[in-house]
Amino acid sequence: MVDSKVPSEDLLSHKWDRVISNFVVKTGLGLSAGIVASALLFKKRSWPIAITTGWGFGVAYADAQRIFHPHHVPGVQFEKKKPVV
Amino acid sequence: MLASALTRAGTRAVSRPAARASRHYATEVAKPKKGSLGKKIVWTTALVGTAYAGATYEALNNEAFHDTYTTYVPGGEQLLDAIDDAMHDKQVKENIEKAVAIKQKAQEYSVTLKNYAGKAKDTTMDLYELATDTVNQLTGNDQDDSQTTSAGGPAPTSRKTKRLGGRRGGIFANVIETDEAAVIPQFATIGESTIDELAKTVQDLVKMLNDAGLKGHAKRMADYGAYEIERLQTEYRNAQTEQNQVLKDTVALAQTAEDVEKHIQDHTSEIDTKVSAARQRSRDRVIEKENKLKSEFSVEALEMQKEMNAIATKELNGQRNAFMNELSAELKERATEIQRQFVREVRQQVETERGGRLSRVDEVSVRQRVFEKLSYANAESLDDARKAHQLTIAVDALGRAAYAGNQKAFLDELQALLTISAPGSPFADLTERRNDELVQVIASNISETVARHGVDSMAQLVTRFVNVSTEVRRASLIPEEGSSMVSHVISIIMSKLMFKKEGLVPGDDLEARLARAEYYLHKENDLESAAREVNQLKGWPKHLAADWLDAARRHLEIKQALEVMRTQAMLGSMQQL
Repeated sequence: MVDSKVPSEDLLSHKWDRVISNFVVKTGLGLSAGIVASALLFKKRSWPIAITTGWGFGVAYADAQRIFHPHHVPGVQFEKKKPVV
Repeated sequence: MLASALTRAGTRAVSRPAARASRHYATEVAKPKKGSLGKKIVWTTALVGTAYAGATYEALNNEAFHDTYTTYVPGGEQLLDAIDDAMHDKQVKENIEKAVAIKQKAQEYSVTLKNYAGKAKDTTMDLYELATDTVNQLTGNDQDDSQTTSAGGPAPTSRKTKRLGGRRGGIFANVIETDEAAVIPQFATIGESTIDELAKTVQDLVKMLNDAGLKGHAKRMADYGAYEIERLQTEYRNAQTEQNQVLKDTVALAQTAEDVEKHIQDHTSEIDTKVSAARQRSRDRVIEKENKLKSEFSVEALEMQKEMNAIATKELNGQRNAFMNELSAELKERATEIQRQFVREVRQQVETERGGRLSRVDEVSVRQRVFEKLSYANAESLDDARKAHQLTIAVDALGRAAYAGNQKAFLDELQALLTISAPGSPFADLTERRNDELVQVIASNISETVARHGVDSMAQLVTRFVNVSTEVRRASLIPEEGSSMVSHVISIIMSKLMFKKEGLVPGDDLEARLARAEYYLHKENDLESAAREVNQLKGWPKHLAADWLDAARRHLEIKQALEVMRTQAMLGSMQQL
């Protein structure tokens, strides 16, 4: 996720955009997967839905962490970039 | 219980065949181990020893193998060194030489032995053949003569020689007795006294025999005697004739010898005369030749003399020519010198004239030169003035373009400025050149990217700052270390609860700085101070404000450059006044 040609004051807002969209998508996916699984495999129990939604939320959270702080990922290296107008 | 017993039996039955299978049979062949191991060791040692010795020998003789040997074989190098020392040791060398000598001697002896053996064989073969031949002869076998000649046996055919004495016993053998008195043979007398005597003796004998009454004997005697004496006489006569012949021959020979001698003498005298004649002739020829040579020499001498004369005359001519040339050259030199003097004198005259009458022309030319200089200076100053004006205009244009706002590119104006301020004229004096250089340096320091994209105007920056400040406020509470998304969320929420400061507030925290920057921008239009304030932020807020700061910096840069250039241009144009 390269922030190229983004004015620096909008950095955080761009990140927030990505994070929020990530959250929505992943949680939604988890929810739908849970509903399907519970309907087909788990005899209409409620706990698969909760699990999968939680999982989606967790993945989104991890991604958000990475988006906000790329240096937290082990093995990440930063290069000096020429200043772009 | 029965069931358990049965099961136990069953398990036992199962385990027994396994035990049976592991029994050893005595009829199996036991492999003898000890003997074969010893043999193997012996053979291996022998082969390795041979290989080692062979490798050492090869290493001694073959250069390429030597290196491989020393590298791979353990103890090889030491062994080779030991062998080399032994080879160079004197004692060992002597021993080796002795051994070689002995070998050679043995060879020679063997050769001689072979020869002797051959010879012995030949002789035995010969002896054997000899023995076989004698045996064959003795036993009377028919052999060819060619086969026996080689034997050379002791059996030459003995011939019966006719000997007079052989008949002696048989003269009076089988004498026929007669009564008739034997006729006394008459013999012709020959010169030889002995034969005559013999004849006489025979006659006497016959007579005696006749007288004695042995007629038969007498007859026999007479016959025999006559026969013999006749024989003798004929022989004697033959001998005599032969002798005469021989004498005649010798006489003839003597005669021929005399003839030959005479002939030889004649021949020698002839030769003598011829030789003397030849000598005389040769002497004459020699004298003739001498005379001829003398005449030739005299002729040659004459010729050489003529040549000498010719050469001498040539040399003289040559020298004369050389002298003549020298003289003419000198003359020429003299002539040119005189000419030069003449020219010099003429020139002097002309100059004196010039000094007088032509000096005024000089004055005029001097004045003309002064005019020239003045006009050049005038042209230069005009040029400079023009340039200064151009520079001022260009700087103004640049300023207008840069601050037109909306990031308009001012590259063209910049290029124009660069070309104008290029140090071109070599007639510019020092200050001018310095001014131009200054402008050039500043113009070239404005990076091309900046020129291409233009700068933000002041108003744009101010509006942008409003945006930046809101964002910065939102991110103000994010800690620098150990931050996560949650801290971002907390910061956003908490910042909404914070108070906003305004005006020139003293303090080092983020809020104070932002307030001050805002004050500078809105109230005092001081971008520089505002930028300085913003530069002092830290962490995420700084990160967010980085772009704005960059734009502000660029703006300030261009502004500074433009100001300097404008002052420079104005200074330049004022200097022309």
